[in-house]
Amino acid sequence: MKEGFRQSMAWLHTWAGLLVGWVLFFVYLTGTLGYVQYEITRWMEPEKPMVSEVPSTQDLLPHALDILSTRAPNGAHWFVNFPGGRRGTTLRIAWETRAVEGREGLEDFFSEDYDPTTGALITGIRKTDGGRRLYQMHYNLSYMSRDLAIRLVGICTMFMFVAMISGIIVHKKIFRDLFTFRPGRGQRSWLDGHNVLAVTSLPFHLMITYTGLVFFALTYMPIGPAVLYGDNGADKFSADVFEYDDPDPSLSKHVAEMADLPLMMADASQRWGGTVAPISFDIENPGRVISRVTIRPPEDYAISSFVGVLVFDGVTGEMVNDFGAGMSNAADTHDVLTGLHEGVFAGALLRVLYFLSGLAGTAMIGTGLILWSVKRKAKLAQKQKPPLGIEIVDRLNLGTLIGLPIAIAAYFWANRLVPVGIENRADIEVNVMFVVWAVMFIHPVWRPLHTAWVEQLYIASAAFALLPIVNFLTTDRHLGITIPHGDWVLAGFDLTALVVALAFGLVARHMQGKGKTTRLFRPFSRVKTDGVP
Amino acid sequence: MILLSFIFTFGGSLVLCLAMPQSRKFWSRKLDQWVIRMLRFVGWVMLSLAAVFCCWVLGWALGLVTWFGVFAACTLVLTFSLPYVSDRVGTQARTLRRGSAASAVSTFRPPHDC
Repeated sequence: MKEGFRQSMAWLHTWAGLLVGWVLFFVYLTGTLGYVQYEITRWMEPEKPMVSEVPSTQDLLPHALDILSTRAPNGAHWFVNFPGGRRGTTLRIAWETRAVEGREGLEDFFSEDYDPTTGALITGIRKTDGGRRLYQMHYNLSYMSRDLAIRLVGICTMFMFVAMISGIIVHKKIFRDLFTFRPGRGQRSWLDGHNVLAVTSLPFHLMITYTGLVFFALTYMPIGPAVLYGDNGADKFSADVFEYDDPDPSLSKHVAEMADLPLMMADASQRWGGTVAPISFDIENPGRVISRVTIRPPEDYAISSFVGVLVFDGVTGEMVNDFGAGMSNAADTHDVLTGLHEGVFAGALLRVLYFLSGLAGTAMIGTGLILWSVKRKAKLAQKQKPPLGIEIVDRLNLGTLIGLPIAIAAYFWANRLVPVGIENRADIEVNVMFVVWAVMFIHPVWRPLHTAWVEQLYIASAAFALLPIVNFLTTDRHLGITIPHGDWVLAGFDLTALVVALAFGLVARHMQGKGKTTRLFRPFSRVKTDGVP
Repeated sequence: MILLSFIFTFGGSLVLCLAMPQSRKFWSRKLDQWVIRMLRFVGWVMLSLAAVFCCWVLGWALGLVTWFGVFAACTLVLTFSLPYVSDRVGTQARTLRRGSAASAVSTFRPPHDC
């Protein structure tokens, strides 16, 4: 090998990063939005009430049980979600119908939202998949089977991990990179920016990439269970790991009197230290011999989303399972790792920090992609036309880096403008997003690159700036109402849109001002490049 | 306490940054080795204290996770604003040095291109 170790790592970093960079940008950005998925969903369902003083869990519980026993007396599974947590401002009731014999798998799922103060059913809520769909796209992608998607994302994540580790090896002066940013120097500045974005949030990037792989470890590495358990290893393995204390399902026919639910709630509360009230619970086989009640603490109770989850026998009222206590060290580690990735436990401040780190990661990938083309164009002579490869990368970069945010804005626009009662409404919103994104990929093919950048930046700026105005025209959950009411989740969405619009606008003006010979994208031969690797 | 952690993380990063070789432009003369060592020591102590503050309020698990976030936020703001602030600091230092209140910042030197 003629090259040194570090050079070969630089090669690996460049190509591993470029090859999957566009997918990773999509995964990182939609994943980052996942940290505020419940908040986004709240904005996308303006028919639901704003935040308010809600009655306590004990007061809401009888009402919830009343609704369930009249709406679904024979339901197989009841779900109740209390207001007050991040998941919503309503008392959310859901149930699954009992399978008819011989027609298993055809159970129906229903859910209803009730105003916690008046107790009335809220009707006419627009059908939307909200922030959850955006969040799920970061591992399920779209328009393909889930199995294929998580494998594709898994491969890309592995490349990300390779790119990250080789990147660390390339930059031995990590601590120096942390404080080095020299603007206005073309390629040098892009490299500085790329380094700073990577290094400042390096623990986050490493954690998120590694734990992302942990989520589907058994899909990516199925050999373990197969060797240990033989045929159908995966099924037997998950039966061992995930199904515990499963009562004989045939007993679900026998009716039995339920134990006192408020007592179980109080018991759970006591076990959590006495100050925490349950945020949700569900009852399997309500009113039957083998009834199981699962009670969950608020999201910020522990990093792992399993710790604190308690299971009670619905008939005797005794606790039969404590998820947090009975776990093996391996399972515990797994749950903490996945919990760290999801960040569901994070309170408001930590959520903002998660969101910032996610954006830094997205920007790191973006600057890396731009750097690839900038570096190659620097080697071209003045006025020389870049080769086709660079032209293609440039167009893909624009379509992804600016086109995707525009597409996401379009998703929010669609939420406000698609008629409420229409069929498949949730899917239409998503289709709008991807159609707009496709247009953003086609647009730079017909336009000169620099013009296309300026145009898309202005489109992005306008799309986000007008979002609060569209919201004002179509709903009564706009800034004029949400701010006086003190609903900072809803107001925060509109305000964030304005900040994003401002950022895009400033970059657009900056680029337009520089004209066609901007140092961002054109000749660098005039710019001194001191010791670029 | 969390606010204190933000302040100490930012301060600690700033001190460490000033001790770096590329921050020479902020100082009017070459720093002695012992000054650099002192700055580094103070910087690390401040960063450690910031982490301790986080853990104090939130417990070890949440505290460390939060501190990494605080660190990322502080250093991102610091590093990306540094080149723009350094010009301004230079101009101020020059103005101040002409006056009598120059003692505090007399070691600051304006960058050449300013």
